[in-house]
Formats: sequence, C-alpha cells, structure tokens
Amino acid sequence: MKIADIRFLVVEDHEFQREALVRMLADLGARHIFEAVDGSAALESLRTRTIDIIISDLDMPGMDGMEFIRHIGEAGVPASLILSSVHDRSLIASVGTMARAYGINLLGEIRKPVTAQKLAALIGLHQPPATPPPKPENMSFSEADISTALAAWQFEPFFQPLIDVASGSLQGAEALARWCHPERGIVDPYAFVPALEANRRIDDLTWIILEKAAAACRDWRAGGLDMAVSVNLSLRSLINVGFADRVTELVRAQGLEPKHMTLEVTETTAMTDMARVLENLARLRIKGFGLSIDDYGTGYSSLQQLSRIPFTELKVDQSFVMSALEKDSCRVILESSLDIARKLGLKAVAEGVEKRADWELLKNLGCDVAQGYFIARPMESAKIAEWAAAWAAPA
Amino acid sequence: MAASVSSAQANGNPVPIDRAALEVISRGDQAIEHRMLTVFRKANDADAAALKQALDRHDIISVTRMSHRVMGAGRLAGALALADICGKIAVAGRAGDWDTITASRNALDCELDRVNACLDTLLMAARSKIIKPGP
Repeated sequence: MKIADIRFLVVEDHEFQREALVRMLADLGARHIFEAVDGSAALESLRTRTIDIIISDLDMPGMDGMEFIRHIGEAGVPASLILSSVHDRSLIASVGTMARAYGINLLGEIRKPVTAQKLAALIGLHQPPATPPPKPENMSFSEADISTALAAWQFEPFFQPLIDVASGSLQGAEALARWCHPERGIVDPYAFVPALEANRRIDDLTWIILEKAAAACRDWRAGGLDMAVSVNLSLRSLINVGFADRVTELVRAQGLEPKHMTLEVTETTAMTDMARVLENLARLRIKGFGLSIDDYGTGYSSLQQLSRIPFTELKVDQSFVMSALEKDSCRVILESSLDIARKLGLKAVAEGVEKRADWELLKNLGCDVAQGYFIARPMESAKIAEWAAAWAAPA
Repeated sequence: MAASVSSAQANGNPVPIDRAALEVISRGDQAIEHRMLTVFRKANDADAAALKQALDRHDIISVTRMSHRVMGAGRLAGALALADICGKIAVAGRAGDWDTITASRNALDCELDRVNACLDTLLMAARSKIIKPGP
C-alpha cells in the first residue's frame, strides 16, 4: 500500500509534537493525515472516517493512550497502531503487549523523539486486513451445538506448512482445528475451544483431528510428498494411560509409522496427574512419535517441562518470533530458546514467521524449521500438494 | 545571533537549541522552521509555566508529569540541555526526591531563559529570511 493512500490518525496532546509528527508524515509522502488531541477526540474521529494507521501517544490528559487502545480493541477497529511515548521502553512494550492482547495489529513502538526513519520503518509493516476478523461476541455455542458438531465430524484440520530453513524444503504441516459450521462457515478455534473445554469434550475434538490429520498425511505421502504431520494435544488428553496405544493404532491403521506424526504439547494449567502424563509421553517416544513442546516461553514452567518430558522438538512461541526484530527482549528470548534447543539436541521450530526479515533472521540464527504467514496460511488438506508444487523457498 | 549560537557550539558550550533537530523536520524550509519554532515556543511557555507552578506548590505529581512533558518536546525540538534537566526532575519526582528537584530549580530557570532567548533570536532570523525580498 502506497503511503500516499494510507489514512493516518495522529493522537498526540502536545501541539508541537503533533505538528512535528504531521510534518514528518507529510515529508514521507502521506497525504491523508488527521489529528486528535486525546483518546476521546480520536474515537470521535474514528466514528466519521476510516483510518489505516493510528499513531498514538500514551500519556495524555482526558482519555489516555491505554484507555483509547482498550476502546479501539473492544470495538474491533481494523486500523494498525504505532505507539509513541517518552516513557521507558519496557513500559511502552508492555502497552504494546496489551494492544496485541486486544487483537490490535501493532506495527511497533517508538520511544520519543520520533524520527521520520523510525516512522517509515513501522509504516512499511502495515498491511491492510484481508477480511475483517469475526467478532468473538457474535460466536457463542451451546452444549447441544457442540454435541451435534462432534457427532457429525464437522471439525476439520487445516494445515500450515513447516519448512526446513536451511534447504527450503517442505518437511511437514501442522494441523489446526477449524469448525466447518453449516451456517457460519469456517469458525476459528478461539470461538469453539472454550465451549469444548467447558463441556469436557476437548478429547473428542482431539481424536477427530488426530484421525483426519493421519489420513491427510497418508494421502500426501501416497502422492509423493515425503512429509509428516503435527497435531496439538492438551496435556489433559494424556491423563488416560491408554492414549499412547490408541494413537499408535490410529496411525498404523492409516499405513503410517509413528515417526510421521509429531504431537505438540502445551501446558496452560498446573498438572496434577503428571505421573500418568509422563507414562504416556515416554511410551509415545519409545514408539517413535515426535514430541514437541509448543508455545515455548509462555504458560506454565516451560523450563521445568523441558527437564522432565522427553521432547524431540522445541517450538518457540510466535509472539517472540514476530517481535524479534523490533524488541530486544524478544530477540534475546528467541536466541536463547534456539540455543537451548541446540544444546538439548532438539529440533528448533519457529512459528509466526510473517515477513521476509523474520525468515532471514531465523536463517542467520540457525533455526531448523519455520512456519507462518510468510510461508503459507493454513489450508485444506487437498490444497497442500498444489501448494507444495508451487512453493519456492526465499532466496 | 544565529552566528553567536554557532560560535557557542564551536566553543564547546551546548547550545540551547540544536537546530539540526529542527532541520530534520523542516528540511531547511524557513517557513516550516518558523512555524515549528513558533509552536514550540507557545507550547513550551505553557508547559514551563505549569511546571513552575507545580514546583511552587510542591505538587510532586504535577511536577513529574510536566517535567516529563517538557523533556519529550525538548528532545524533539533540540532543546537537549533543557530536556536533560527535566528528565532528572522527572526521575526525582517518581522517586519522591524533593531535594534533587529543589536543587534542579536554578538550572531549570537558567536553561529556560537561555532557550527562550535563543528561540527569540532564531524566530527573528527565520522571519527575516521569509520576508526578505527576492532578487
């Protein structure tokens, strides 16, 4: 998107700083620049016009930047955001995290003084939203809805390719659950997983996805693609001591070997039945399944998990990958995670690779495998072969 | 006076306003520089007055907030010494350190005088260049 076509809203109470920002934007080629003296004025402006990029101060009299961010986040305003503040970096970064938690596309943070170069770098990251995301409040499902969907096997895995960074070759794909709802179309997991968990039906979803993912992998391999499939598991699914045998049977029934499937494990709550979980995980490793620690760096005791579970793969959480180029703290965590993986002999996977610069950074850091929108968005099983034929690794 | 600003810089004394900071914004356009100096003078006068009032009534919250504000604008406008003094006051304000704040008062007043004198000179120089008849 050309900068001349981007509509900017500068939210800054200080007249001189606002004027300077407007001048810099104009100097960069911006032609549509609107101004607001605080959050309230900015919300008023957003009611009457569409804005592509908001540049907002934090500390303002009246409605401050944090409240303003909450309002635009809750309203689902589809504009990208740049934060600018004279406060220290960790505080600005914390507000940036808050903005992302509200679902806002945060382009980055600038510690004042703002310069045209800093602005240009962040504006270059702006991409207009392809389709407005569905609002979570519009999606609520009853126990009966869930039961019907499970009984009708309406849940489908979509697959996001996993690429070997050094060679650029397709190595596998992660199965991501979607609900093919007969009336609402493709529904993302954030809308239905809480309902499944609340109704204690998450295991039913896991088994549907495991079975369909194994079948998809069989088809790809039969079509000549030497690749594996990864499936997400909750540690809660592993409390049943029969899990390992059942999943082994399921994989073999498709003509696959356990090595063709990696089970990605996350821990979001403290576990009480760790002994049973560890029994299953040890058995799965012995049988040859890959075990991946997912969302590494977030949640409960990632380091403790590494020390007690026989993982084969470490998957760095996308939040660190996506922000590694902008935030020193995220880059350090990414580098440390890759280092830990290397020293423990684990395959390192980075998710959330959204732009070429992310890919190049991972290549320079020696990451093994990458996944993200820069490579491909999740797709239906049947489209993987066509995508693979057209895939050309970045030079 | 613009010449004297340059002389002061050459002699190693920090100038009240580093024009290079403004030139980044104005790109050498005298009309824009004049406009930016005018806006900065007006905003800084208001902020400085509010800061001094807060200092006089020992309102540490307002002192912290206003010194922070003067610091942010000062950095952008090239008033770097003023920004440094206000930065120290803001840090002291957050720490509840009135001794440091009080000790900074003289430096603040002096630097504000220097900044304002420099602004007046720069404004006059910029104005004369804008209205100078062409050849």
